[in-house]
Amino acid sequence: MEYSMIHTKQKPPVSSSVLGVIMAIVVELMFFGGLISAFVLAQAGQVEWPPSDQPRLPFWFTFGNMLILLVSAYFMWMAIKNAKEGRKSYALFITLFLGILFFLIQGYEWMRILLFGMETSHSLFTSFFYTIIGLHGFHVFIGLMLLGYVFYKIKQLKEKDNISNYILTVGIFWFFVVALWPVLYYLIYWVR
Amino acid sequence: MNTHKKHGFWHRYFFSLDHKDIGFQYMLTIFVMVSIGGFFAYVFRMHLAYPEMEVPLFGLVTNKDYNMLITNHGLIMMMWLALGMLLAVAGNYLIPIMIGTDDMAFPKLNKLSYWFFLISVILMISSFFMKRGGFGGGWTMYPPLSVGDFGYNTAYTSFKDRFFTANTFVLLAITFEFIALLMGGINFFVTTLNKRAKGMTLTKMPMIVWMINIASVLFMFSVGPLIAGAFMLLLDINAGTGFYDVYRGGDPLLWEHLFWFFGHPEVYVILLPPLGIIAEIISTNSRKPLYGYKFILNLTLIAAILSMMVWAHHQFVSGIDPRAATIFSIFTIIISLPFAGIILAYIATLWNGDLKINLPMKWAIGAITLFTLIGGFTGLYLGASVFDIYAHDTSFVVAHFHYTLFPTVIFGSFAAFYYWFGKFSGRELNKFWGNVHFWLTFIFFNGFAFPLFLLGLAGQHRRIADYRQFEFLMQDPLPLYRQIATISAVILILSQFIFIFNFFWSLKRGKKVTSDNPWESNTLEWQTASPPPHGNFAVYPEVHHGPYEYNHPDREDDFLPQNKK
Repeated sequence: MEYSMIHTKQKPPVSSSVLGVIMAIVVELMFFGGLISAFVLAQAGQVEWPPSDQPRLPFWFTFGNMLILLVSAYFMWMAIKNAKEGRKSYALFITLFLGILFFLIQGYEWMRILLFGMETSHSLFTSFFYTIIGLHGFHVFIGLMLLGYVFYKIKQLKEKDNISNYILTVGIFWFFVVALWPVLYYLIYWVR
Repeated sequence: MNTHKKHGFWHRYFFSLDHKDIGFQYMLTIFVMVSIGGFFAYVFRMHLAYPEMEVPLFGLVTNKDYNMLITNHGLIMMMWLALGMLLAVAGNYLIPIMIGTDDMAFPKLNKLSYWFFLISVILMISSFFMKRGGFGGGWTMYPPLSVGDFGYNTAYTSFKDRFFTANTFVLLAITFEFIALLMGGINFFVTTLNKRAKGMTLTKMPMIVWMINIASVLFMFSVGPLIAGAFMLLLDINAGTGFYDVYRGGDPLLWEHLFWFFGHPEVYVILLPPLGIIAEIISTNSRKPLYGYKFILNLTLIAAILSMMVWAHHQFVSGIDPRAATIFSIFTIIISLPFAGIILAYIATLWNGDLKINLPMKWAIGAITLFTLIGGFTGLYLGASVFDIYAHDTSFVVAHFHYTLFPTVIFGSFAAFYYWFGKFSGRELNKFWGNVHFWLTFIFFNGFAFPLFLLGLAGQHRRIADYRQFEFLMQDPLPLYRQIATISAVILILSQFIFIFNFFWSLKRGKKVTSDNPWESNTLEWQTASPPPHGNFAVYPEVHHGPYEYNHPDREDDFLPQNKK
């Protein structure tokens, strides 16, 4: 008897890759939830925040950078919409470009802060700053790798549904990365 | 006929994408870890009973050795054996075949998850050989102990000195292992939702598939904060941050919260899969439908939610506000209700059944008996903060959690081994040695763990290496209890060799199974060849019935496979 690899079930309502990335985001949310609650608790126990002897973070500069990231989410949404309707567009490329821009600007900011002499071991404030922002940066990096992979992969694919599924999967992860940033920005750059 | 050609050793053990092979790889890796954990237990138990003696195969146990041994015993058994065996092995092997599909939703992710697991095992084992010795900060890794010998004094140590310590390696190992299990968990969840056979609705899935999935999701919800905490601890050791350093405004209690926010749901992550295994076995072997399928399911979901609200009962002596302690006590005691309901449903399943007391059934009944009567029951006492403050960190706690974990993890795994071995290998385990193994394990487990209750009530603290300095702990009959516990533990460990030999001997030379469905069970894995071929089913099954339709009054056979009309 030959193997009949026919799947008797019809297409699932939510594709496996989308479901998988949603579960991964659940874990990520709990992960950042842990970090953020640790940060908020540590902050609540301090008299001064940020401590008076620590450098102030560049508020407006990062605000501008946040706008770049938010615009990239808009183009991601466009890319998903276009792929669903089977249209070709540059939206995914623009998302990738804006993401890289955000990553580089954030890296530049870090270099300046580091050269300014702010180190991880100085205080709880700097420890949390580098840990949380660094981990978000790491997720942006992963998101960019995935975007790059999908950008390369969809050129080889023919079927519309397949392309759309790839873009939707990476898009959900990118939305998560983008949506996290305003929260972190508010907590770390903005408060007090 | 199997048209796939047989693959070589490397292909099967390192690169195979088949879920059964990956499950087998996990199993062998965990056997290695368990042997190490069991050996450690033997060494420190011997030391506790005979403190002046040089332990055979190890030598004299110093206080530092003792700390390292208990720490790594706990870590290996909790993280690698319990989580690995019950989530990774059971999930990988059983889920696709029980829901009637060929493989996981993401076979490559599954392979990657095993590789991460292997890396974590290598990191863990290499941590024993660091220049400053193995990790000895307790399996809960509370800072500042877990920050290491150098503490927070970063001025005089180089990064290299700090990185190549057991502390760093253990934390990395745990992080890698959790990433592996998360990949596995995502795979299980997606596979279960998207790849079920035609006609298999969610409530026609066997209980164990539900249980492993609920456990995986619970794991996913609870593990994030611990990974965050472990990452912060890694930075504390290696990057000079001060998250847990009181002098810089950090708080060591933060770790306890992050750890136990995962740590307590984890015990339910461990408990649920054995409950599923037991459900399969008792329903099949009492030839009765599982009593209250949806009742059990709802109770499990309630327990899973409640389990996220009880973590601080591990911290009653860590300076917690007594009002908060009361709340956590109440939740801890409430969470025993759903489990009481589940056990009641299991007893109702057994009630008036046509019981077939075979080997898996013995393990299953042994597991529920010990878990409920002693493990769960003493948990009620410890959950109340008034009692816990007295018994905290004594041998009473050790006995309690061995009575909860051993019956579930070990008895549950053995029940699964004896139940599914024929399916897994196409051969039978030797029944006589199986019985010897069961009775030795059952008797000497009790012989080992029960005296610890008495010792704990007498005030024996669990993290003290040598009791000779405490006169009240050397009074009769306490040393005798310690010796009984130790001798039983040694026999318990030795009797596991019976299983190991039986397992590997039967794998190669055992009697071939005569039937694909020896227990006359309904679930889909019994409706294919043993061992199942690559792709699991020759023809993909279509499901018409629930998994537990035994002794239907209108039918001649007392069982009705899920794929029969």
